[in-house]
Amino acid sequence: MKPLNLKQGKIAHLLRNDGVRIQIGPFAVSLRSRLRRVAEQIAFFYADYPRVAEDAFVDFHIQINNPTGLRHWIRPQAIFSFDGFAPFKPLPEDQAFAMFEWGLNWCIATTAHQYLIVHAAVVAKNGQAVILPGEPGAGKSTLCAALVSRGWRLLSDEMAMIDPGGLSITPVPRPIGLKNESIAIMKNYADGVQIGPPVTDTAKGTVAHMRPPAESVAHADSDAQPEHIIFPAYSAGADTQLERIEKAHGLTRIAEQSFNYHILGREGFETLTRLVSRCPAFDLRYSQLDSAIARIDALIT
Amino acid sequence: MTLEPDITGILWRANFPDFFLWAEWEDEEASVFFHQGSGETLLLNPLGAYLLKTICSEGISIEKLAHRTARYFDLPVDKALLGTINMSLRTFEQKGLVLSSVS
Repeated sequence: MKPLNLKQGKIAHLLRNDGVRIQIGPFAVSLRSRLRRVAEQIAFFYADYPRVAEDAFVDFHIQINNPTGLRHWIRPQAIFSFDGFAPFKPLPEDQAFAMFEWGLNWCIATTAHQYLIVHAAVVAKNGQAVILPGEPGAGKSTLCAALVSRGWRLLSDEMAMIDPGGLSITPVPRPIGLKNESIAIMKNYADGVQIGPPVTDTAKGTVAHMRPPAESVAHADSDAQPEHIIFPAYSAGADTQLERIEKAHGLTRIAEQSFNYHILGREGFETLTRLVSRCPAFDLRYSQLDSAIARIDALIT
Repeated sequence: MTLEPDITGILWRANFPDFFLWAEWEDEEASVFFHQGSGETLLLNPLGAYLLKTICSEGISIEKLAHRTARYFDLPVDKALLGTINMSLRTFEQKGLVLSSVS
């Protein structure tokens, strides 16, 4: 499949008409939008992604447009719809691209039950994947962005999609969502980091997305085997500590971070049991990214 | 050992024991329990796991359960043990994992 790498005007035209069709990991996504901001950011973030053929099956038909009504002329908003259904309230129009990312997460988490899906970043090195589950604020995305900027492969910033049969992780590399202080930290952390425009006053504070490395996008059809589970916890001023945790504790904690474990039932439980039996689990407390990365690097053979 | 009147005469049995799943490792004390019916996942210490497994197999009184538990863990049957077992059973009951009935 050819990459989407088109001029912004062409992308805007496609978005307004038949839609832009993008292959994002295992999912074919069709996006339609009349919003200039969406065209700008799709052109910026998704240039390296493969285009889906016109006649190919599409998993998610998404639209992001202004809701109808007079409000559009006073304080423009954007609304996300999936197969014609609008699951969320409208948000200010400047959040339209972030809404696409959040909405696509929702589409995947609520429908892709062929995978056990865990709220986690996943990165890999030398073919060994590390799962980083995390509560909001734990520093999962910042650590993921830092690892990726230091050469780790990005499989996902938001969800580990685990095959219940063989435990392999299907990549779905997407723009990495950064919040508040993390935006400036990542801008200054490494050369070549590309971050989109920040959007203020969202439900998560100020958010901006980091462009995923082209190489990770190019390898989005290659699964990786999980080797380690690391629960990150950012703690201001803390020395870096990486401590092994018991499998039983790891299982219950990763189950809490799963979107569809309860839906998969026995299969979900048995998958997580095999996952924690295979992969040593650790608590990582950190305040310095370099030091945290050095500890994670040391786990990889 | 005399039991409190409010916990005697009650039989405890598992709620759909065929739905019980366990994850256990030889080198770890704690185990993880999963109930397929409710989706409930519990991190259990050895006492909790022993109680659920013992109740699983048959309807049992707390007195009988206390004696079996005491033998298994080499403990005395005293008020502390009975209190702990009673509290565990009530917790399991609230989660819909065990059922109680008056014998």
